[in-house]
Amino acid sequence: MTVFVKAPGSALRLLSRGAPILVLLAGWELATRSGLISTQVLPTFSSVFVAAVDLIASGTLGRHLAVSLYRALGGLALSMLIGIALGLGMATSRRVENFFDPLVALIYPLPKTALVPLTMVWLGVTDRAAILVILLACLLPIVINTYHGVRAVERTLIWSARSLGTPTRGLFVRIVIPAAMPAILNGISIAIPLAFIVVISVELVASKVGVGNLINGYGGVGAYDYMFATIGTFVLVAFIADRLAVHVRSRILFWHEQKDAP
Amino acid sequence: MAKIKVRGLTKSFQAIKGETVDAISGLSFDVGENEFVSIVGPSGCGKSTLLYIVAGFIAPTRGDVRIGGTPIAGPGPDRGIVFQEYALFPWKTVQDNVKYGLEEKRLPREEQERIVRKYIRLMGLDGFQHKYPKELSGGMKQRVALARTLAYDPDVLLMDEPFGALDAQTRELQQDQLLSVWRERKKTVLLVTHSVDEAVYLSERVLVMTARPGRIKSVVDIALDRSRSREEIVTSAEFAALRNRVWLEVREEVLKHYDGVREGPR
Amino acid sequence: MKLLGKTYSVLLVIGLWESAARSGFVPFFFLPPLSVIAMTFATQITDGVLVPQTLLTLFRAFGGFAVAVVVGVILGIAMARFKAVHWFFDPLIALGMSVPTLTLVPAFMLWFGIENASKILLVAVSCVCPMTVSTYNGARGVHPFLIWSARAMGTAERKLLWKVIMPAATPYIFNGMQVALPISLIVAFVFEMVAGGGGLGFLEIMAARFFNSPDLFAALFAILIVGFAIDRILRKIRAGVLGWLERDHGEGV
Repeated sequence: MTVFVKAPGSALRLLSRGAPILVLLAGWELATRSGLISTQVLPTFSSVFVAAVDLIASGTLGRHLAVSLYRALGGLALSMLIGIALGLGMATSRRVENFFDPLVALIYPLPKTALVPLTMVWLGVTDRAAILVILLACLLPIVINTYHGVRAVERTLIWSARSLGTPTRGLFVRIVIPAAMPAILNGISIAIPLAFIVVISVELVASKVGVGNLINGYGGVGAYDYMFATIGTFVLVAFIADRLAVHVRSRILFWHEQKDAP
Repeated sequence: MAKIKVRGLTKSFQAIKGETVDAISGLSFDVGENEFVSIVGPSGCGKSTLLYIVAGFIAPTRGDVRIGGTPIAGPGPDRGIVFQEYALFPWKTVQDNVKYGLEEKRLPREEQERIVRKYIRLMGLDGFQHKYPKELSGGMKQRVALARTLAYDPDVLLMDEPFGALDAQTRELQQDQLLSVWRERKKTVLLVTHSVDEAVYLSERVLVMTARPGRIKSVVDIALDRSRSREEIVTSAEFAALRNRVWLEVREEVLKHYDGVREGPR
Repeated sequence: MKLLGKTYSVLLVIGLWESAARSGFVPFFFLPPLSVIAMTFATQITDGVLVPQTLLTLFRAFGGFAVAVVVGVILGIAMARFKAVHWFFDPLIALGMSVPTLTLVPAFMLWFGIENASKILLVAVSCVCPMTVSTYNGARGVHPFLIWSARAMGTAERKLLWKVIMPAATPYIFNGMQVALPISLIVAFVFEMVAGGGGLGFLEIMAARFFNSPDLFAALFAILIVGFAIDRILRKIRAGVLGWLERDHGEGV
């Protein structure tokens, strides 16, 4: 939906797409300055912007953001490691599949943020607890997508490779993994925004540091302009991370033929 | 001696309700060295299954397949396959696709490049070496698939409806190209197709399969003067006669299948 | 016997849990025995604690979800039919999809308080974007042939909406619901954990703060059961409503 437009000639397009947002921001500023919406409820956009600059300059944001990113990316990386391995294992071995399938099915409907109080009891209000929750939250989309990706590899590809002399051992690395790559990367694409969402949830509930905690703190003392500044910058970071991931993904999958699907 | 010897081939499957269904049953035929043979038959008669067994992808329930006298044991370098969906490796360029089998053979670099160049030229793919399958038309993909298999130089070429996904014009061009390659390279070809016209046009012998469970119903020798142009061959009386003959055989089997369906579930 | 083969890993985990918990190696607060948890669970139900709290959470989640469905479907269809609407809302929706709405929990606490209404509203805001996007994709993707044939058969423009577009968009809407429903639960839980005011999330976090593990696990299992039940129900509904579609069209319209 949102397309990163790079060519300069499309600057007009970008403006057109950004226009409603600009309208919204302008409306925000007007409404709050004029008193239509009390600044007790919603600070002016300009004051939020100033607060954001201050947060960044003072390094406060940097510190807390670093913590949140560490947790989010740490949990994500671990979930990728474990998730891809598990997905590959389940897709290639009946026994592995039979073992983990009921466990996966059981965990699937559980909202992983419900595990936050549990990790709080287990590991306290620490980085490790947060990473554990994020790991578990991101695990399932990666496992499921990897699994289906491998299973969906067309047998004609595998058969062709075998006819061309590939030994059974080599099939996996030479054929299955590249062919399943779109699905694997799809799982990761789903997991990335998830990691950002979950880290905030964890930090709102059980953390002494981090962006979520910062948001909570500012909200608690009524520093709403700082609160919104924090939210805004975090959302921007998450957005950039997501766009980056999309870009990397299309670079890796340049060869992939997109098929339309609902 | 026959290149391909198939004896008493049977393949059974477990149907959904648990009963055993024979896809093919007691199927036997020979294909001579450098012979071009096509197999036609009604839908579901098991012709693809037969081809996959000869290729070594599926094991038969009973029966024997020998290539050059030796029983087969799984897929092998002696039998190349071309699928209807081309089965190109989408993450590899045309060149790398064609090179694939040669890499597996561990030939020296220059040798690989030389062979790849040869087949790229042979199949008219010059200029497309560095393109990816997603950038190619159906006809081009088909040519890459053939080039890839030929580069590996198998003795036997197995083809499963190779032109099925192409439009009519491209299909004709590809058929002619296949014929010229076959004449030049001297390979044993076993081709499965729906199209009676195609079978008669391309092959020296046409095997007609019965409806399920598939067996060889009849063998039709195609004696056409192939020195003529395509138009001349296709519009000749001999072609029409042979085509009709094969078609009637197939039709009989197709109607059997329909009759079975018309009777409805029991 | 076959069932055993399929679920032995779960039984293994249960067995390990119980024995580890009872062995004394694992502290009680870390992993209470399943039997104790089961007892606590049962007691909480009979004491009239668990059920009302569950219903409260569900009320908030489903309330917000329902609002989001109505708004999302209307907006999605409007976006698909009217270019101006699409132009205006598309960037906003794209923005909304990227924003983790949970960051707004403190903001919503400030604006709308910590009562049910506030929670329902945040759930609605969180769910409206996926619902809009999927409805839009569904309504937009309706094959022009379907619309042309319907028009040719004399279907009035308004009826077109109901007779052609809605049924075609329904699988997409259902996909959106399958995405939005878990979101509704998550948002409700987190809001309850942060702001209090009853509900399963509140129960759980309070149990955690007092290191009351059996209560914590009981609440957790209640959440698991709720999630499980909702997933199953949604699947059944989907099969029932969309069964005709998937049977007829195979891969979808």
